[in-house]
Amino acid sequence: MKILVIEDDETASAYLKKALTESGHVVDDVADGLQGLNRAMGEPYDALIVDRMLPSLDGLSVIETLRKAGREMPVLIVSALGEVDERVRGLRSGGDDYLVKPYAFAELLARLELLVQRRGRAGAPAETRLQVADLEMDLLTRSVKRADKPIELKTREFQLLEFLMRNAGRVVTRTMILESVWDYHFDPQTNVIDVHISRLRQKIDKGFDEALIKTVRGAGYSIRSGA
Amino acid sequence: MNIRGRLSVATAALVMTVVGLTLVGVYAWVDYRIEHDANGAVAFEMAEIARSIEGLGREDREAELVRRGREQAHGERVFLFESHEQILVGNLPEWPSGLERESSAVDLSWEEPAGGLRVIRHARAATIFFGDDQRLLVGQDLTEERNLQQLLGGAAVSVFGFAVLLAIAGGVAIGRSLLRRVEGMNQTILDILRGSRSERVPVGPGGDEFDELATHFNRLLDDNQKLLAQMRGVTDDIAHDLRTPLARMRTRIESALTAPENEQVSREALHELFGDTNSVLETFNALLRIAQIESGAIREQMEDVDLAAIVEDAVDLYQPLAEEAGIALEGDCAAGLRLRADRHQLAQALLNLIDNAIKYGEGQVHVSAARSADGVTLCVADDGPGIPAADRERALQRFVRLDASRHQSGTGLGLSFVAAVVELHHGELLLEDNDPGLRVRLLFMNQSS
Repeated sequence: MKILVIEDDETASAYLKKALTESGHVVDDVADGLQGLNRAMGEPYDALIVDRMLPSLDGLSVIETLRKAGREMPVLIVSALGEVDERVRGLRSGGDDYLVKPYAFAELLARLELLVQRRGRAGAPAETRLQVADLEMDLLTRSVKRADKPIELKTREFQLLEFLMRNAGRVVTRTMILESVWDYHFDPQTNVIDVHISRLRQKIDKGFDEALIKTVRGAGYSIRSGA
Repeated sequence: MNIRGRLSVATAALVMTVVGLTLVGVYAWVDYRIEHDANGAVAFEMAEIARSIEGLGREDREAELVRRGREQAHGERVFLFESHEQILVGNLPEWPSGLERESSAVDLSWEEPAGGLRVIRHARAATIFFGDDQRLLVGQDLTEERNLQQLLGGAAVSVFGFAVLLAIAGGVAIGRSLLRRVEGMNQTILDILRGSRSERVPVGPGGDEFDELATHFNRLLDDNQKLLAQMRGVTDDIAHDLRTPLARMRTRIESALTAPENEQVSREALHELFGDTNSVLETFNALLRIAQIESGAIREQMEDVDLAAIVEDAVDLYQPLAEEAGIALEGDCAAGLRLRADRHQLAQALLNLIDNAIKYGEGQVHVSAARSADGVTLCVADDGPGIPAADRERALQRFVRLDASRHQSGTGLGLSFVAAVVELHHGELLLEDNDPGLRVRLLFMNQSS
């Protein structure tokens, strides 16, 4: 992916560039809102990471201008800790997701990939089936099978598994799970999500050779076949 | 000019204007009355005369006027009838100079000997000319009135002068006494700024506006001092609560550094450190969020929230955790119960309470939402050890975990967060005895359901 980072904090910017490059992405970085806007208008980027507070033009204005000009690439807004929580304003200005510093890089990467994938899928016909290895989910009948054996799931368990499977192969963090399954926008307390995952594992993975739901240390969970 | 000077000048100017206008008004009124009355009397007399001589020939008219003159030319009445500039009858020494035409109202002054002295007399008069050679003057003597008027004018000037002096003195005095009160306050503020924070503005016994100002100002100072003390307390708490994980991190780093080089061990240490850092950050985040809510910086995103959904979602989220802990978690809510609230804050507050209840409960946690007399009540009750009545207030403070051993995880900020959210919604937070256990009730008033 080709990613533009608009961030005026040099340390944060350098770290992001290094980490994203190591994850196999191509990264451009600028430290100024106007420059960032010009770059984003001129070159095709797959995604933008935009800081809220920027010299010359603030992040939200950059995004609003881009959207008015018809640039539809996914945008992840990052905002410094202690700033007023302006998630709603950020999303209203055209941002796709909102992350508060300090964030774990794994969280940022997981969200970014989710955004890009979601944008790529937009317009495509809605999926009716999801599959990971021998685990199948039918979204129309809302039924789940593994190795052709039906599995009974409660509503939340189904939603949780659906979220994991839609992002199969990618890492989803606990915060992302809490956001998309429960619509709560805050850090999960203690280990609530872990217990839900372990419940789901009981039903999905127990008694099968391969455990499909994997724990990604320091980041979250991922559903995939193989390592 | 300072306030004292401005106040003195303003007071003096006001008093001078009022007194001056009053005196001028009285003088003008007296003057007007005198002239008006005299004009009336003269006009009346002239009319009488005109009627009595109407249609008479020269001889008869002269006789009639002389008769009238003899009768009237004394006392208050001024009368003078001349023919060929010879006085036929009258009580004026001579025809006033400059009075060569008929006139209906004119002021006269002349000198007259009186007991060896010469006095000036005044009058208001009218004149009639008959042909070229005869003329008549009839008037009203105003000497006494004019003298009185003069006296009055003099008195007015004296009174005015005296009033000016009094006004200036009064202005200065008022300014000085007001300023003394303000200066007292100023002095106190300066003292406080210089460091003696316990100083307070003196409050007089009068209960006037200045005393009120002083009382309010003192209350502001008390409030500030309390906030300062609270902040100091929080700072101490933060220092204490963060020192422990930081010290632990330091120990881990130290032991990893001194251990023989081993990638596996280093990675293990890094993972542990990562966890420690996260818990420190979590504490910071929780603190900042509380501070934001308390300062009102988080803009309330109020919407109509369905309480049944909130309770159901919260119970749903914690159900597996509760089962794991061997606790029966139940929730119930009357259908259709709604509250104007920030959904995310309210949900997080409820989750914090449930989290606590599961940590401390023995086997039962009950979450409910119900209509109450004047609003709605959210309630989370457990059957754990509860909080002794004496400790309940302390439990709401930041970082307070009542079990001194701190064997339960958590930042110790859960209840403070709940308190801040309840405050944001103008509600009330009650810690009660569930007998056994703790019952936390959140009351939200005057909400339409």
